[in-house]
Amino acid sequence: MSYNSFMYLFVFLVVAWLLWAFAPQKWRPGVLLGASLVFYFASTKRYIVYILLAAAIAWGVGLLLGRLDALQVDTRPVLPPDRRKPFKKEVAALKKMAVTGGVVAMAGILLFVKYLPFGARVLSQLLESLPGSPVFTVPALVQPMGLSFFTLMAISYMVDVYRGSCKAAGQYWQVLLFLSFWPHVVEGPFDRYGALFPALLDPPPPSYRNLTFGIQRIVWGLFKKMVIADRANMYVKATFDDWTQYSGAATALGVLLYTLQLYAEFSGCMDIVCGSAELFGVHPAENFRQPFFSASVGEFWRRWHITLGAWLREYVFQPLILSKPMQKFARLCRDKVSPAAARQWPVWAGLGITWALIGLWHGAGWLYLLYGLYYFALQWLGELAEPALLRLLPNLPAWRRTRPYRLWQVLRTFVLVNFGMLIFRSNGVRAALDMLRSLAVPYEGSLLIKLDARDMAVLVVGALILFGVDWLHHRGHQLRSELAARPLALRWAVYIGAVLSIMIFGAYGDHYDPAAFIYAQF
Amino acid sequence: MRSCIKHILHVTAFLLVLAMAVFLAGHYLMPHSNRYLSGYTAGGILGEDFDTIDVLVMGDSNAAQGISPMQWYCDSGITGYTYASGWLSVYNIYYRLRSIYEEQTPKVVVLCTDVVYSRMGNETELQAAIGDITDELIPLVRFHDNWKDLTWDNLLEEHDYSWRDTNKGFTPITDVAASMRGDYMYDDGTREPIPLLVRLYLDRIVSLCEDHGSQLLLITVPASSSWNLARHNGIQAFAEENDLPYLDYNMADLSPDIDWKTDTPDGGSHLNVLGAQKLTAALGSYLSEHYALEDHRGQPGFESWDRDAETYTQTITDAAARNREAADYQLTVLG
Amino acid sequence: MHTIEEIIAMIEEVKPGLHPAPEEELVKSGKLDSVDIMSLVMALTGEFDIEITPLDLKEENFRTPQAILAMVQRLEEE
Repeated sequence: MSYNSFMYLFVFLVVAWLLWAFAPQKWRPGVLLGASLVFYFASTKRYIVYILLAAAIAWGVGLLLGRLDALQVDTRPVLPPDRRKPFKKEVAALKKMAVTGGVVAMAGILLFVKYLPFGARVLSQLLESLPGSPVFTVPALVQPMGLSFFTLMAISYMVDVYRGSCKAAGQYWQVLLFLSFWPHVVEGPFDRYGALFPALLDPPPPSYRNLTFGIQRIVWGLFKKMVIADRANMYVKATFDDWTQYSGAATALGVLLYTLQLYAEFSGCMDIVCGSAELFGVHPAENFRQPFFSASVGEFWRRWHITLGAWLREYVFQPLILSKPMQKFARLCRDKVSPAAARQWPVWAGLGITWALIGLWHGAGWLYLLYGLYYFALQWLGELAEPALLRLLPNLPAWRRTRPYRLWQVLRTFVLVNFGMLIFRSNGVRAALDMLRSLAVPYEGSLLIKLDARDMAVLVVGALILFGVDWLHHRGHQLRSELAARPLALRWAVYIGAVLSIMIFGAYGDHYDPAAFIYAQF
Repeated sequence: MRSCIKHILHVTAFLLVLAMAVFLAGHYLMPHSNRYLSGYTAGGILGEDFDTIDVLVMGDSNAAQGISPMQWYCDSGITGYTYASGWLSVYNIYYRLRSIYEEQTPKVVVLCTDVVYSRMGNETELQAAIGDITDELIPLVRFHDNWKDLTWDNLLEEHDYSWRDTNKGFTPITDVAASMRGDYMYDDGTREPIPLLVRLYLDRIVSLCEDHGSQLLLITVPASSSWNLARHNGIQAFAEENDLPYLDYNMADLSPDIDWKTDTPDGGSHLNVLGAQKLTAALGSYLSEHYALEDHRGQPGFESWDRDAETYTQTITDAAARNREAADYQLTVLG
Repeated sequence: MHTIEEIIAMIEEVKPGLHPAPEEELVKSGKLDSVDIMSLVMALTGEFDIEITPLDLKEENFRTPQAILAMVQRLEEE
């Protein structure tokens, strides 16, 4: 069931909401769980076992950690004082083993299903040079929907329970509901159990405001997906799938339109899912915060797919740097090189690994690794160049606070991000390099590739509307509330106008290729 | 509770206004001429005078390229129309038939059953059904792309639905591309079941014809690349259950001697003029024998038909000649 | 006993050009991002005999130089 399909919007959501609204309070979480499982099963059929298994592991580990904590609290008063510290250490060690086991199991599932063929390819490429080495390929396993999302959310649940950030769920179905909750199981956002469970397990009563605001947000998301993203897709598909036919301005426009497509679609999808969840009083985490107003690539990734960056920062980057091996590496640096190196090199190493993982999370292939490392290179070079820049241009800090400089930063970031998008969408590393080279070759033909002038006009207007709304959000406006305060005629005009523009300008029907949601493949 | 009722009324009022806006926009975006209401020249049926069509053929591109009603008129004065457009589904046909009944009272409705099993793209049956039914019920969804054809000039123009097609829905194709498929109606012992929703709408078509006093005739246009015995068996079963006559022109005993080397423009998906002439003749003689159909030639009120017959004769003679040339060339290529 | 000046000096090493006051906002104002924080953490664990765990990486512990000093002193006692 696709988030922009008739079945989802007019059948599933309607039935689920009616059942939820009219159910007694203590049955409401059950309705959410039932709806989530129906949604998931409809798309995955027997591969639902993966998410059932992941929920079982996470719940089991959570329970175990809870029991160990309870054991610690109960036994402590009974012990003699000199035994208390060693006992605490033992329990801590057991807890660590439990959570490590759970994390390894979960990561194992993800690695096995998603990365095994890539790993096998890499291994055989490495072994190729050795004589008599076997050439082996591993057939790709079917990847169940949302695998990359629910495994990571399960890991965050276990680690949060371990760290004491949230209490372990007492019952299996609670963890299953958290993982399989249909608004975030397909494309995220990565939610935290602690943030979501109050609303899931003890929902607020149905409210008119939640209902109307949720629907409005869904309509906005549909506008972005169907009018902007699916239309841009026609051009993007042609220029990226047939990349050798295009060059220069045609390729450049393809990259720009892909950036527009990906942003409109992914953030539009987030609007649809957050709007869907809002109908039920649940507020998933935000994944976008006007990313194209960023002043640096680092900032961009704090405003784009926010929850992925946050997950990797909290569960990979930080623990990695604080880990014993990394601390040992730091000491090595301090002794052999300098205190400055001890401060910086472990962090850069951690950063490199994190960026590589961001890239690889998107796909099991060299291209995605390149994508992640591209951003790492940008960030690292930025850090390296900083002291030299400050010496060359001592006024730089003052300039940085001015408006023109900020504009330069925003534009520069935009260009850099577009190069990243080129890599991301290419058909492979070779294709990416070809396309980069072809940017310098002028293109003779018409730029109206698969789209006529009127379609382009719709894209421009759509992009302006998108940018306008983002800009208003950037300035702190709460558009739905502000609109709700305006007179009836204006409100209705806006709502009806929005629905009509989706129906009229939506890129659906015989003339358009249906475009599946991009992030659902990850 | 009071606020609940207030909210419900508010929402209902909004939905009513929204529905009105949708239908208004849909009306506004419909094509200005009936020529563009549907693919091929199906829209031309709206230009015909009321109650003049006696045989209504409904189907997809197979019918549009394979059945020429003017040939019947020239031979025996039967007035027919081929309402056919690419990728029409049973859902589309049901609703189109319903709207045609507002202006015409055909004595015979010929349903080309190629539409039962064909599907565009790789949608599921449910998705296809939802899409097609929404298209039919909400004109805005069907014609939404027409915003591109609006210009400042035609913005406020009235719709003009008086265009007539001299070929009565038939589109002559004169290309030749041989089908090398050989026997495609071999028996592999299977019967392809009719999907549930399609079945539902077929039943509705049967009832619709009964309610309007038309006799329903099921046929299958010859198509070597998309028809087989399993599908024949599926339709045969349906025909028997509903006591309907079924003529499968792919079957050897009924075949109008289609030569798959010369009678198809695209390797067996459709028929060209040479094939269409054979099929139309065979179907025409069946219609004359089994149904009481009037000869309208020379009758008052059918002057335009007589004129169109002359035009048609010229058109089809030229087309057949061109087709013959292409066929001869194809045969020499095949050696 | 460590001083606030030591902390501020470390911050200056991590981010040249930054001279924060003892009660100046560091995190919310964006003066230190997550990479800077981790560099600072490396400096702190290298300089002082403390062990920082992920649980300590809370915004309140790094909000101002004073907060950092308080965290360091607390961790040393453990």
